[in-house]
Amino acid sequence: MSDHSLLSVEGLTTEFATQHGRITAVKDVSFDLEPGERLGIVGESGSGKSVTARSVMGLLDENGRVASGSVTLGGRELTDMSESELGDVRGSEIAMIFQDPMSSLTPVLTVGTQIVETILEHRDVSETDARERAIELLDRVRIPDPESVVDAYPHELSGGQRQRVLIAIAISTDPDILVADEPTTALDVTIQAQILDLLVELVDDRGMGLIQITHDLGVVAETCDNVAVMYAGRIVERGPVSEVFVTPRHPYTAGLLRSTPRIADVEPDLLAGTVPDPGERPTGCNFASRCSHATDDCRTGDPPLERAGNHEAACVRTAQLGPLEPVPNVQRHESDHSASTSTLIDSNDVRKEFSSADSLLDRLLPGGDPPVKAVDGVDVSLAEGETLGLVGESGSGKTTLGRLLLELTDRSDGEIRFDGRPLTEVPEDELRSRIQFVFQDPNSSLNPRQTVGTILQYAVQKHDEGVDVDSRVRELLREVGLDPETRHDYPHQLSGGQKQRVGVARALAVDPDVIVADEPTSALDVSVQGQLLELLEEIKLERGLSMLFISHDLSVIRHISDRVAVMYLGRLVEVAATEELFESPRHPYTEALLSAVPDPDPRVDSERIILEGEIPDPKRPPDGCNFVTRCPEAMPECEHDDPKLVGDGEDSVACLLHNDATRADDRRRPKADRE
Amino acid sequence: MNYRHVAIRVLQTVPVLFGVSVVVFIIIHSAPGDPVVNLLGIQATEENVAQLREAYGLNEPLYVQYLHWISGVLQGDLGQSITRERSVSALILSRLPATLFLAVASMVVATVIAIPAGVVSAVRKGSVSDHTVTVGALTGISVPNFWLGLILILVFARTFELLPPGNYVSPAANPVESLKHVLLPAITVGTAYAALLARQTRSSMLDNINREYVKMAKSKGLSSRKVFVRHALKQALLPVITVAGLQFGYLLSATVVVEQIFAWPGMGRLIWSAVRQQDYPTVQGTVLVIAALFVFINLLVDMAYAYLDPRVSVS
Repeated sequence: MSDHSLLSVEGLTTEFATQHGRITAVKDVSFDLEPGERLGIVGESGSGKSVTARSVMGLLDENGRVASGSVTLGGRELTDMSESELGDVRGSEIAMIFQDPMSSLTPVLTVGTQIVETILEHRDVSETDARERAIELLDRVRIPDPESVVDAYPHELSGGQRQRVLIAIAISTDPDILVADEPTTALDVTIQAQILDLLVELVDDRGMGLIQITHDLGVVAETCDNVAVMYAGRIVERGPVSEVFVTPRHPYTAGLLRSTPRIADVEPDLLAGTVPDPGERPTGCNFASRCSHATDDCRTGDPPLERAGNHEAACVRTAQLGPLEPVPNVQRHESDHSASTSTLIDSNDVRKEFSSADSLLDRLLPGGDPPVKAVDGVDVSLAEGETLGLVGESGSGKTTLGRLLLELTDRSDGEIRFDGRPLTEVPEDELRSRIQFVFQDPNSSLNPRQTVGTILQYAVQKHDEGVDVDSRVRELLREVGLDPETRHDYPHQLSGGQKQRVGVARALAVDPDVIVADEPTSALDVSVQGQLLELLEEIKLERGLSMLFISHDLSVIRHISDRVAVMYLGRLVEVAATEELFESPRHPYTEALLSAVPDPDPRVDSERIILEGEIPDPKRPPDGCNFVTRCPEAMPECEHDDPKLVGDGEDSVACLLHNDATRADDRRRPKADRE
Repeated sequence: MNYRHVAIRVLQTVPVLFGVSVVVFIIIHSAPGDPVVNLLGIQATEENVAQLREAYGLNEPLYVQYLHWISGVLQGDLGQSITRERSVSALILSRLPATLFLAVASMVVATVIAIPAGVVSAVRKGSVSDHTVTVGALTGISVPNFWLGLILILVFARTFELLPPGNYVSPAANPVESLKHVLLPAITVGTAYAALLARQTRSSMLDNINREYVKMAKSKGLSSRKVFVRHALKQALLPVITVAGLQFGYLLSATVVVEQIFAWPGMGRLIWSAVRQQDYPTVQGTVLVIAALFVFINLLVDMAYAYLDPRVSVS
């Protein structure tokens, strides 16, 4: 390792004491960071990437310890420093940005206090000067109105702003190294683009070294020079991003790249199996059991990280395999769904307002908040056998819309027709057995005190009392790709992917016609996510189901949908066939959304449209077009004319650039005309 | 916290207090026995009893008696004691200061011990001090307060003669003496309270010191003391304050027994004797005042919340 490195990690091994004995989370990890270098550490959950970062910072949980190896910063060893010695290094020489800005700021202290205390800890300045500096920093991370934000509490800020505050704290003392642990994972894609842009700019400006920990290959491709790919506690491949992501030498790296859903027109090529748990790693190469190139040699010893081409890989077969292909060459199969089938669900001007008043007294007293317009006049339809992707950022109202269609939430206004009848006339029992919901978080949607068998049994019995419950449960589990013996397990004994499969099985138990899936894969790792998407697609084709697939992830939406509806601030801004929408988006928001998704292919140098600002408060949406405050192409008339979703054929868009119909037209016309 | 929020919380106390008035009225009136018989003794003639019942309105239907009482209460009149020649308001006013003094002293004693103990116990989890606090807290909760009171009197007042065995001295009259007198009863009442608070503080701190924001504070290079006190403790105290407010009810009920032991002339003793004599107006009045006190304390807790937790004002 070079002597000039800013940070040098050598043979780092980190262990955790658990009920099942000591578990090695990270094994023999080495890397260097030069001044100004941007290093990405990428891996799925359980790969040890976050543990690596926390070992470097000395921020392991109580039961964790660095068992061997060294971490040297500017020639000083960090692993054997006392807590107070570390205190001088942390924050001043090496700073960390945490994943979840929601939980990483102390909720009871103002933003200013939290920045100022960092400055005062490491710099000999007065409190007034520190506060001045805090305001400068907030301005530097592009927070509007820093003079008032400095006195705000974290909950008063949006997620994106909070992440900016975390960055402001991290750079407040000009550290040499910034460790960013999934800094944008909790954020929406347009906000993620803003934050990544800011991070890179700051790091370059100040010549800081950056360690970016992430599961998102696209983020690495967009922001890093070098990358270390981790799998099951080890670095399996390391080198410049332009090499590793273009000519990967380790089968895992290639597999990960190939299985990532992309905006580009390729079908992901799935990686089978799951990451072994830290306690159950095999002897030999950890990846051997999932590797299509594995031979008996792979199962004997841990392969070391060795030179492979212009970078390094830990695979015994590197020489034989040569460079691997990172992008699957399978073209996306075009959907064979024909548009002529009948409409199953049809909504007309559906609205949902949430009142913030929660009690009788609250409503009686004057001076409350206006209601939140979660869904503000949406027309959407779902045809038989079709998958409609509903995409939007948080706060767009996509989940509420999904719930309205199932009558899980009462709507405030508008009409929904199911199978030609108004929803109110469809008996509850029929509705529940024909439309089913797959929830986002399998951890909270499965009762932790019931076995998988019991959970499914209820659904089966509810649907059909005469059936042989046990054999039906086993059949369902097989259908979703689980071992029928899983029925004796409790949810906590299953992995995230398995739990979500149980969620799907529960939905299928009543033999529905429509499945509404709300972000079913957002809690899962890339390879598991791909497997679940494939399962949903198979089931859908086999049973001829219709599906409403709600997601914030455009790559996933592209992968699974026939048609896509884009939602922004309670309204649909564009609805089009998938191909059409991704090839030639028409609404400026759709365009920006597509360009904001980081692409894992470093060769793609797409022109990013970075949207300014954030989604406005749904209690006080702007006059005119809802998108006007952020639209790069806003025209004067957009300020007051509210565009209507107008279709030509299958595709419709709500934008004055394409059509000058406004929502007001409807209201001006006498009612008779509208019929 | 804005005024709107305060107004809502204050208005919410009205139905609570109304409910309390109904419940206490029904319970005391359905207890067996008769205050007039208690007053006159068993030798009293039926005629005398009937006369006195008439005088106190005890022959009216129950709902009329209630309406009569509650309309008085709404006008600030808690009625006349049956067994003592005084108004209930005057009785309460003469007794309330002693009880409040004892309750506040108990709270202070408890908080001063419990919060630091809970924090140390959480920060040094698994250490000797942690075990000491945990075992101590369990003991504190398990020990009956009347027993503890007797033991304290025996040890500190009788054997070593360090402190007086109770007897209220008004803090306005003689502050130093009054503190000496309140110490033993305050410890007696406060021990279980302290134990509860210490346990709550410990678990709440433990819950918080593994949170991301505490790691974040550490990553800024702050000293452990700052991390724990400034970041973790303020947040961790929120559930502690809730428990402290709810358990204030325990504190008030503990005074009923403890005031007997330490001959403390407070509300507890007043209730005790009023219940024994079935002095309806006095029982109703004292219970209502104590309930109002409890509701008021919890209102204060809500306000304290808004001060400590800025998120409350928006939710």
